[in-house]
Formats: sequence, structure tokens, C-alpha cells
Amino acid sequence: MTPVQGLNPSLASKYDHSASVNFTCLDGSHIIPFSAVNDDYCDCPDESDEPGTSACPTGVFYCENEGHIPGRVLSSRVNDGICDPECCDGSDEWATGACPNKCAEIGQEYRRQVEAEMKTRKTGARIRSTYIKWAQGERKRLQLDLETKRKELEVKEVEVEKSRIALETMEAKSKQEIEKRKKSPLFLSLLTHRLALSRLRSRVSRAEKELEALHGILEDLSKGYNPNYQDMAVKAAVVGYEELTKPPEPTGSTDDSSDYTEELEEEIGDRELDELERKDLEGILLTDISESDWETEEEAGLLWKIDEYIPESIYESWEVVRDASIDWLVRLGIIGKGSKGKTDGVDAPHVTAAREKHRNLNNELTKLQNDIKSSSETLEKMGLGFGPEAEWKKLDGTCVDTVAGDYTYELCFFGRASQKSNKDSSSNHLGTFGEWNTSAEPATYDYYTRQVYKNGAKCWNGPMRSVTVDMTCGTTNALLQISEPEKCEYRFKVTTPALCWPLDSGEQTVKEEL
Amino acid sequence: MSVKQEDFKLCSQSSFCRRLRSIGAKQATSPAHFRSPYAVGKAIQISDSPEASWAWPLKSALYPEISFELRIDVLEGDVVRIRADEVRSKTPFRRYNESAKWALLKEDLLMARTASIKHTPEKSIIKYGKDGKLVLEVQHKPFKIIQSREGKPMVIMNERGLFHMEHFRVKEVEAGQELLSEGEQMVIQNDNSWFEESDKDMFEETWKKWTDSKPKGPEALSIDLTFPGVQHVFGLPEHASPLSLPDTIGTDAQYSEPYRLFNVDIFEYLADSPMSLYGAIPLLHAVSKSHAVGVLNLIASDTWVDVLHTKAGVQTHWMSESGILDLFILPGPTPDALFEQYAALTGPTPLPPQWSIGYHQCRWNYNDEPDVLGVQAGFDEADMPLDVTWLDIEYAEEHRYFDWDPKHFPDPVRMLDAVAEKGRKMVAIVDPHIKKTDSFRIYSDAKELDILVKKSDGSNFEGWCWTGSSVWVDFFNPKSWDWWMKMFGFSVWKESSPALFIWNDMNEPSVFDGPEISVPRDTLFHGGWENRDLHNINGMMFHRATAEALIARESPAKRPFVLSRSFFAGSQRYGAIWTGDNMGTWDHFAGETAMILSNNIAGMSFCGADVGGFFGNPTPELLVRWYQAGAFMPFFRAHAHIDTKRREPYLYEEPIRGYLRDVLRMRYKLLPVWYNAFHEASIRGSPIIKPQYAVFPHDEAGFAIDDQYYIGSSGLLFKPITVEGATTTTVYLSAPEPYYNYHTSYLYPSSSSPRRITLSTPLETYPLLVQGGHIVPTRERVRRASSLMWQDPFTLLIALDKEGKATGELYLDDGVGYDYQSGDYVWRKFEYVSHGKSGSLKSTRHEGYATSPLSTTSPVKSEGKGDVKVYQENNKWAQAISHVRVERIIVLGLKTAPKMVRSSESTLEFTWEDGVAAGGKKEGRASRLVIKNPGVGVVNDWVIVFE
Repeated sequence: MTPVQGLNPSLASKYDHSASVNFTCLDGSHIIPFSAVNDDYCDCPDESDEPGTSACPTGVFYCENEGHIPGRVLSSRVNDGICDPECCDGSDEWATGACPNKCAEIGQEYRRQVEAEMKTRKTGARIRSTYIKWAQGERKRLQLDLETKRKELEVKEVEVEKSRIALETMEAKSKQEIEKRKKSPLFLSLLTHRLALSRLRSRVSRAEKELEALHGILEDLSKGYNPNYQDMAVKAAVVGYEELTKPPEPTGSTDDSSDYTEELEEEIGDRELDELERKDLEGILLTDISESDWETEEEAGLLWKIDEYIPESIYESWEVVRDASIDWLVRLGIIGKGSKGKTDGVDAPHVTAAREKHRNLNNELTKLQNDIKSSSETLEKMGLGFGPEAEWKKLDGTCVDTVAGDYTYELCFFGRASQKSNKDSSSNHLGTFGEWNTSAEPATYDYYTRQVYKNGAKCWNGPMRSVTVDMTCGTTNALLQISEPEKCEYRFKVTTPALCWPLDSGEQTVKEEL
Repeated sequence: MSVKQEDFKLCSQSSFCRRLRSIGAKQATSPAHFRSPYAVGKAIQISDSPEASWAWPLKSALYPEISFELRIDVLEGDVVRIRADEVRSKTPFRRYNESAKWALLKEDLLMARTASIKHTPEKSIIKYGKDGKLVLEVQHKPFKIIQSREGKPMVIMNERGLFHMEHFRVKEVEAGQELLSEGEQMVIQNDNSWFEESDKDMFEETWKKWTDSKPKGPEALSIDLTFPGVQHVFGLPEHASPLSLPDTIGTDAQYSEPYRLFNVDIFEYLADSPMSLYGAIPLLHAVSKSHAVGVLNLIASDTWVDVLHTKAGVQTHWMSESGILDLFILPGPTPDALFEQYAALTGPTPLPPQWSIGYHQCRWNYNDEPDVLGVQAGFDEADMPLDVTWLDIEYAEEHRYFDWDPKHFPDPVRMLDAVAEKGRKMVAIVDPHIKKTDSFRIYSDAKELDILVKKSDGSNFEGWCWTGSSVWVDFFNPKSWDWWMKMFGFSVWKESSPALFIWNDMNEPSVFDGPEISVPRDTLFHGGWENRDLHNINGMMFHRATAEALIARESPAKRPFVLSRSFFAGSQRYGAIWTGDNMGTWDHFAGETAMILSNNIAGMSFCGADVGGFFGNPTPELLVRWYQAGAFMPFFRAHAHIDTKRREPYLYEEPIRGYLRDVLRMRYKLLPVWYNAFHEASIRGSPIIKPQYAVFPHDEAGFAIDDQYYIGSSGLLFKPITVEGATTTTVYLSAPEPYYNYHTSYLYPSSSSPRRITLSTPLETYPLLVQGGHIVPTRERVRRASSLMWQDPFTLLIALDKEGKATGELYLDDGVGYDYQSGDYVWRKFEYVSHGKSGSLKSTRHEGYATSPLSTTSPVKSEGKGDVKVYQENNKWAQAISHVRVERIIVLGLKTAPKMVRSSESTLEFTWEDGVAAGGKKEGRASRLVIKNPGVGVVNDWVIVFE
């Protein structure tokens, strides 16, 4: 039986001429004479009668490729005069004769490449296994650490509770008095004022933020705008901004100096406002109660009063001197500790001490809790987020970079991607690690072949920068190629041993057919 | 975002337009009392006068001391040329008279042999045309010209008396008039004011921040042309307006501004507006159901045209800033005849490289070599055909065109070779702005040769464009031509290859910081002419130089491919154009059809629109609809702005991907139809796509239809779906013949009167019909690139007319060279006839277009190339494709199945499906006969008999 041109040998039995004079289309829809098989005319709706010609629109031509591995080409590529690498024996160009059989050569090269790839994967897998081992150690360490910390936590919780009770008891007494005074009209009015003050301040700060944002936008625009856009409005905006922000002329006119003064006044105003807001009103009530007990106001009060006489130009240096003086006075026991930062001076010393103790203990507790949280999170990630065997944990924080064009691109695994200018020190944040390949099933090989870094610096007139990182197995961690297919949306190609799964893992199988 | 209308002038912001439009307004207010001040004197003898050439002195009563001369030639083909210019001016100035030099195919036009003249004191009467059917009457006082056919006036020039040629004057002289006594001055002013508006901006004009020095003072030209008996005028491209031009004045005016012809780089243009765009062709067709006549007003300065429909016909008023009068009257009497007459003057669209009618993939930008090769792989993996991949401005280092950016394209030739290996081509952009940097050879060469465009003070003009500070080469200067040619030679541009072709963008020219985004009007060009005089030709000169450079770079020469954005009458000789920076919105998309049809009827046939829209991100639905429309535009290219998302067709998921693949494949299957249309265009000047009025000039009800069209003479009728969510649409059918749905073979029976049919158009489909009586040749095997399909077999689709007949043709050549001009091509005619119950299909040599008076005697030539030789059946190309066969013949609409089908060799295998017959009154799926492998080729004569 002569083989049917372009036919996958596994189907040969269906094309056995000796069995019948007719050929049945593989879908059974039509029966045609065998002479119509490969007669360069598409008879069967399923295209099964023309495996060897270009007559049917979506068929495939099977190339035996002796000396290499078998391949397939689309029927639209049969006899088009182009030598397709999938058909190194040139059998698809049977009519044009355009392609000599190069399978020996190509097969050899292919085997060499496969071998090289195997080698890469073997080496890569060895490196990967060290990552896994490291991760196992790291996991053990974390688990151990976690256990210790959890125990500490229990102890600490008890301590904190004790200190809290002590503090509360002490505070309760003062509190009763405060509650009473809180109802006074004066205090209520004070509260209203404070509320007004904070609302005013938040308004100011919002306005400032807006201004800052506008500055930022204009600054981005002036640096990042494309002078090639024929938009004269943009150009005008840039020129206007540059003029607005250029440093004042050194020949300070009267206008300039008054501006300067204004600025200073504002600064002082700010500080005063801070203090006003920070002022512990309840503390003041308490101060009132205990005024007779501590005579601090008189002594330190003088230093505070000097404030009012200090010229603005030397205020800042005065401030330092004043605070230092009060410090000394306190240390020397001349005045009470409460003088400094008037808000602290409200409690009786024993209450202060109790509060301090409680606060410290509480801080220690929070730190412990945080440590535990972070460790357990890491451990949790080592289940899936850091790869099936936590092999990626080793790369957490590892950075790779490459130079492309005028920039150096850097990727820190699980951290940030950035673009640094090779000409100056400017740098753009391209994104922070966001997710693995969400279009693949989690935990599959494909899932780990892509990382997305999101929410980078915003492009002028464009999106927030982002990076899609496509990764393959390699013996080193390396950033091979960057591209920007759409404005501000980057693609990195990266190799890493973390993706060199063992050869028998079922992923990345070696092709037996092209 | 949309166009910044304030960047462009209104008529009222341009002193000449203001002056001339006011003449029209005055005439309209009191037409009875308005009389042209111009009169023609006694004919003068022209020395060495050809037979059909006459001249007259022409004077204005307003300026008796000034002389003009009128000259009329009757050209071969019965085209009348009317010229007028000022003579014996006391100033050193002259009017621009070189528009014809650049626009016309050849300068020395042949004169008609049959014209004769008769003079009377009142008029001069010229008889011409076959049997003297055409008459041109020159009325002496007031000056008026009437062109008529068989006694019926077709075109009247100066009927309304708006003709005005502003004479040259020196400002000082004008000022000197103030020395006249007050009384005398009053008289002068009173005399003129009924006609001429006084204008303080005549000698210097400031608009926004720019001042035009106007060294020649006022020199505007106004003419009025009336077309009695018509209700539709077409032409004046390029505008985003309906094909049948609506009024710009009067009570029914759709627009308040006249149609403007002034080439500009317009950013996000309006979807419906008379504003000027990138190209200008001063050609107008006036068509009634009984006749068609055309005018070509060869003027290259800023020109505004008012249109007004009246009961009696259509009035037009043309207002130009400078230049002589050089008007051609094309006699028609049919739209087809107008196409030929126009092509005889300005040249037809030459046969482009065959691959250039395949699919083009463009984007601003494919960033580097891997990106370009990735696009190739994307198409291959999706099994979508692709012929050309484009590189926008970012390929060039610092936008220094020719200089590849080595960081992204380290080895351009390697990349070009890799693309060419699959039979594909590339196009890279070369814009006319040249970066002003001494290290750039193009700049230093041009500076050294002193061929740069100059400012009015004589220094080199500098402006701002993509390249930053830039200069422009003066391509009117012959010194620039040879130099530019060398720049493309493979020995000079080493990082180039025969697979690389060129895109000339921004050639209006676009100057970002110039008035109306272009060069100032007083900018100087070769010969001392100002930009004001030749502005609209500038883009064509650049296009021309590049096309000629590509022809010159190889020997034997290959057909060039150069895409230009700007164009003028004659640009069709140099390559394709596209409709510029459109937007990815439904309304812009809907407007493209009329724009492309308008370009097609004005000779600029090889054109298309950015598929998907240049700006914005089209929805998948809009993109599919746009690909469907693009696949039926003569030039089929997808393009996108740098800020858009990637939208290459292979990036989409099913079913969108499948729809896109289907329509791409449809384009490739129909390539023989498109190549036929290009071939016909190349010898007859006919549009590649034809609007309703051009195909059915007697069905006036269809004249305004500009949302459906026919492909060449193939009988294929296409309508793009441009309405979001549309699941049905209607199509207008004019022919008293059956029409067949191309996709389904569903037959709409013949009808003696035009009718509208409704078609279902879910997203995957669109209206494509075959008019009964046509044979459509297709190639059903779609390859990766069209150049790989040359040996593939054909399918013939025979759509019978109501009498059971059909004809068709097939033109084939090597697709890339000029061997066809020495006769190496195949041109077949297919004819199906019925004899009672039997029929026969014949393939014979095509003998040329019998209806065309030009095709046999004076075939219109392509630029720089000779006549096409007569086709011999055993020529080199015929031998090369002697093995190419017809694999399938499909006959739609037979009444009954034949008993037997046979060729001279053998009986043929066929299948038959019952259905509706072509001659009947029933609607439904047509009967379908399919002959398998008929054993015939495309080179030899053969007959197939149906018994």
C-alpha cells in the first residue's frame, strides 16, 4: 500500500485502497471514489479527502521528517513555495519542489537544542532544589520562631492586662473630677472651637494636597509631555508652569520679601495650631485640679513667655535653646517634668508611671503580634504564593536588571519593578508585585510562568505603569528582554531556576511532534 | 477631544475669501441689476496657433487700463480648456501658471481636429465633438461662456457675473491715488463698491499670531459655474461630507462655510464638515439622469467653493487666493466618460504592486525587531493572511527618517529578510520634515544643495514637527529630484532592501507651529513662487519624488508603493492615500464610505481609511465592522495611535477572532476581483469602487446614496454596517436583474424598477451581493501572503441574469514589475450564454474595452512608462502560469439541472442543488450547479457546454 501523501500514519487504515474502491469521509457524510482522495479538490465537508494538498481550507499536512521528528503544516502552507521548519523533509512542497530535505541537518540541530535545553533544565532543577531546601529550612525556622513567640505572647498578654488594671484604678479617681468639670460651659465652648479648628485645618490641608497634586501633574506634564504633539495648549501650560515655579529673582524686589514674611508667618501659625490641637483638654482640667500640688507653671512659664518677645527671624534657634533649658531645669529638679510639652504635665507622677508601663508593655505586645502575623503569612504563602514547594521564597527580594536603550530596568521579585535613567538619576516606579498568572489554574506550571506588577507611577495622559513578567526555566535569574507594547505597559522576559521543574513532573514535556 | 476649529481659518477670516464671497452675496441680493464688469474684445491671432486654439482680450470696466487675455483650446477627447491671465502688467508680478504642469500627465495636450469657430459681434461660437454636437459659446459683453450638448446648456461660466481676476497693483501706486481730488476718488470708490469690497488686508494680513507679508498684494480669482438641469454635484474631495454635495449658502444650507480646498494636517477632524482636510482635487461632476458633465479648475491656491441647488440647476462659486484661470470642461456625457476624460488629462491610477492590495498591518509603533517578528508570528499562528507590516516614526532615531534606531533595530536588513522570507513586505515612514542637525546627512546634503524651502526674506524656513526644529526640502526644485532618488538607492540607504517600501506622511506639509499647522503663505519655493500659489500641490511633489526614487532603485524597475497623506489632482499616478487621522468612533466610521467614494470618483482611487480608527480604542463590535468595511476598501490597512491598546486581529478571543479571520480571508479570496478593478482603473481611469450614480446614471433616485457601492465592474455590491447593534439593513438595488447574496446564494428576483431589500446582518456578516449577469473569479485558497497565491487555482462564480447570461473577466500579470507593459500578461473574458435549455461557458482573449474611446486609440499612460502593448497569448507570463487551472465553476440561477456538462476533452463531474431560477419572480436560495475540476486553465481559450 503506497502511503497517502500528507496523511498521519495513524489514520492509514481508513485510507486503505485495497479494502474498497470508495473512500468514506472520516465524518461518514460522503462516499467518494478513491481517485478523489488527494485530487486537489475538496470533496469532504470534514476535509478528510485532501490530507496532501492545499484544496481544503483548514486541513493539516503530516510530514514524516525522517531523521527528525514528524511535523504538521496547515494545508494553506502546502505548495506555497515556502520551506516551513515544521516540514524539514520538504514533503509539503511536492509540487513546487522548492524545499530540499534538510531533516538530517535540522534534526541534528534540534537534538542538540533539546539536549542543551535538557541540560539547562537539569541544572536549573538542581538549583531549584536548593531553593526548596532553603525554603524548608526557612519554614522550620519560622515555625519554631512562631511557637516561641506565641508562648511569649501569652505571657505578655497577662502582663499587659495587669498593668491596665493598675492604670485604670489610678486614673479612675482623677477621672471623676474631670467628668464633673467637663460639663462646664467654658469647656464645652472649648470643644466647639477645637472642632472648628480641626475642620478648618483639614480644609486647608485638602487644599494644600490639591495644590500639590496639581503641581505634581504639571511637573509630570512639563517633564513627560511629548513636544511632538501639536497641541499648543499643552505647550502653553508647560511654559506657564515653568515660569510659576522658577526660583525668585535674586534681586529681591519688595514684593518678594513680603512673600517671604508671609510664608514664615504661616509656618509659625501651623506650629501653634499643632500645639493647640494636640493640647490635652482633659489634661488642662486635671491641671486645674492639681495646680496647687505642683508649682511648675511659675518657673517654666517665664521661659514660655519669652516666646512672645522673640523676633521671628531667630525664633527657630530660640526654640532649641528654650527646649534645652527646660530639659536642664527638669533634670536639675528645678522644675517639674511636666513643664515640657504641656500635655504631659497633667497626670500625677504615679499615674504617669503606670501609663508609661502600660504603654511599653502594650507596644511589646503589638510587636509580638505583628511578628506572629507576618511569620504566619509567610508560612501561608509558602503553601501556594511562593510556589508548590515554596521555591520562590528564596527569590523574595532578589533583584535582576538589564540595560535597554536609555534605561536600566530592574525587577525585584515580589517587590517592585523600576526603570532608571542611564543619563541622570531619575527613576520611574513601574509597579509592585500584584499577582501570578490569573488566566491559569492556581498551582499549575503555567500559573507560575507569569507575574504582574501593578500600580506603578502614572504616565502623563496615560495609565499607571505596569509590568507583565513572562518567565521561563533558566540556570540563572536574569532579565533578558523588555518591551513596551502599549504605552506604559511593559513586558519583561525573565529566566529563573525556580521554574525548572523536574523533568518527570509532567509539565514542559519534550515534544515528540512539531 | 476633537478638532480645534480655531486653528483653521473661516472664509471670513481670510481677506480674499471675504472679498470674493461678498460679490456672490451682492449678486444674490439683486440678481436682476447685477452685471459682470468683464467683456471680451475682438479675437486676436495667436502666432503658431494650433487649429483649435483661440484668444481674446478681456477687460474689466472697473479697471480699463488693465488687460487680461482669454484663451480657449479644444483638446482631443472634446475637453475644452479655458485659460485667463493678466497681460502687460506694469508690476513685476505674475500669476501662478504651473498647476497644470504638475497635475497633468503631459504638458503638450493634443488638440481636437474637428473644432471650428464662427465670430459675430456679440459672440464667438465654437463647434466641436462628433457631428458638432458640442458647442461652446463665448458671449462678449458681459463676458459669459456656455457649453452645450445638442442645444442643451450643460455648463455656464459667469452666468451670475461673479468672474473676477484681481489685477496686480503696487501698494505705493494705490496710495498715490489719494493724491487725486476727493471728488475723483469718490467716483472710483462708488464705481467699484457695487462689485468689489474694499479691504484693508489686501497687502498684509494678520491672523492670530502670524502676519502674511503678501508682497504681491491682492491677486484672487473668482469664477462662477452653473450647471443647468442637474440636482446633484459630486467631487471636490477631500471633505468629511456626503458624496452628493449639500448647499453651503441659501436657505437650505447644510453648512455655513464653503467647501474648502487647502491641504492641512487636521487633528481629529469632524465627521461631517466642509472644512479642508489633507488633500484637494478641484474636480466636480454634475449629473442628471440624462447627462453628466465635469469641470476641473486647476488651481493650487487656497480655494473655497459655495454650492447652491436651485430649481433650475446647481450654482457653484469658486474663490481662490491666487493663480491663473485654467479650467477644463469634461463633456461626459456619462460618469464613465468623465472618468476617462479626467484620466486622459491627469493620468489613471497605474497598476500597483499586487501585494499592496492585500492586508496591511500598521501601528504607531512596532517598537523593535522582536515586536515586528512577533506580529508575523501572531498572524501565522492564527492562520490569518498578512502582506505588509508597517513602521511609524519611532523606527527612526530621533525621528531622523532613514536612520534606524540601532537600539531597537540593530540589523534592519536581517529583519526585512526575515519578513520577506514569507513573501511579505514592509513599509517604513519617511516624512518631509528634516531634523535640523548637521550630523544628519539628509539635512546637511539638502542645506549644501540649497534646496530647502525659504522664508519670505530668503533664509531657510524652520518650523517644528515630530523632529523638533526642522526644515523642508523644496521638491519643486528639480535639483532635489536626483538627490532624493539617490537617497533610496540600496548603495546609499544600505539599511534598506527591495522588500521595503515607503510612507510619506505629514506632507501638507504639517508644521506644528505654523499658521493653520502648515508653512506660512509667503514662504518661497523654486521659481520664486509662494506657498500661497502652489500649496495644494506641495504634498504631491514629495509623493512623486519618492515614488520615482523607488522605481529607480531597482533594475529592471519594480512598481513602487508609496502611501501619501496629502494629495492633489494627479497624485493617483504616484501611489495610495488614506483618509488620515480618523477616530475609532461609529460616526467617524460611518463617514469614511462617502469620503472614499468621493476620492474614487476624482481619480484618487487607491485609498482607504485607518481600520479601527487612528484614535481611541474601538469596541470589538466596532472593530469587526471596521474590518468588514476595510476589506472592501481599495487600500486595506489597520492603524492605531501610540496611546491605544494593541488590537492586532489575532489578539482577540473567539468569536471576534473568527469574524476577523473570515473577513481577512474574504479579502484574499476576492483579490482577483480587486486586481481586475485596478487593471480597469489603470486603462480607463474608472474608480476602483463605484458609487450608485456612477453605475446607474439614469436612476436619479439612487444618486444621493453613498453608503453602498460596487467593486469595479465585477457586479459585486457591498454595504458596510456602520450602525452599532444593527442586525438588519437595507440595500438599494438598481439593476433590473436578479441579485444574489454572495454569502448564501439567496436570490432577490429581478424587477423593472429599483427597490430596497432588507438583509439580516448579525455581527459575523454584512451585505455582499452579486448583480445577475456577472462572472466573479476568486481564489479560495488563502495563503499567508498574497504573493504566495500566484499558482493557485481559480473558482468562477457565475451569477446568471434574468435571460440566463453572464460575463466576466480576469487580468493577471507578475504583480510586481513592468513586463505587462511589453505584453506579458493574461487578460481573459468569460461569457456564459443560454440556448434554450442548454448553455455554454466560453473563455476567450479579452479584446479591450469596446465602450472606451480612449482605450484603443490613446490609452492613458502611467507616469514615465510607455503604452501597454497588445496582449499575445503565448507571452512570458502566460507561459509562466500555463499550469494554473480553474478548479471549480459554480452556476447560480439555472432553471433545471443539465443532463451533461462537458469540455472539449471530457464529460465533467458536477453536483446540483435545486433552487430558485434567475429568470423567475421567486425569491429564495438560488439553484446551484458546481462543476468539479473542469480541466481548464486561465491562459487558453476553452468552451464548456451544458446540455
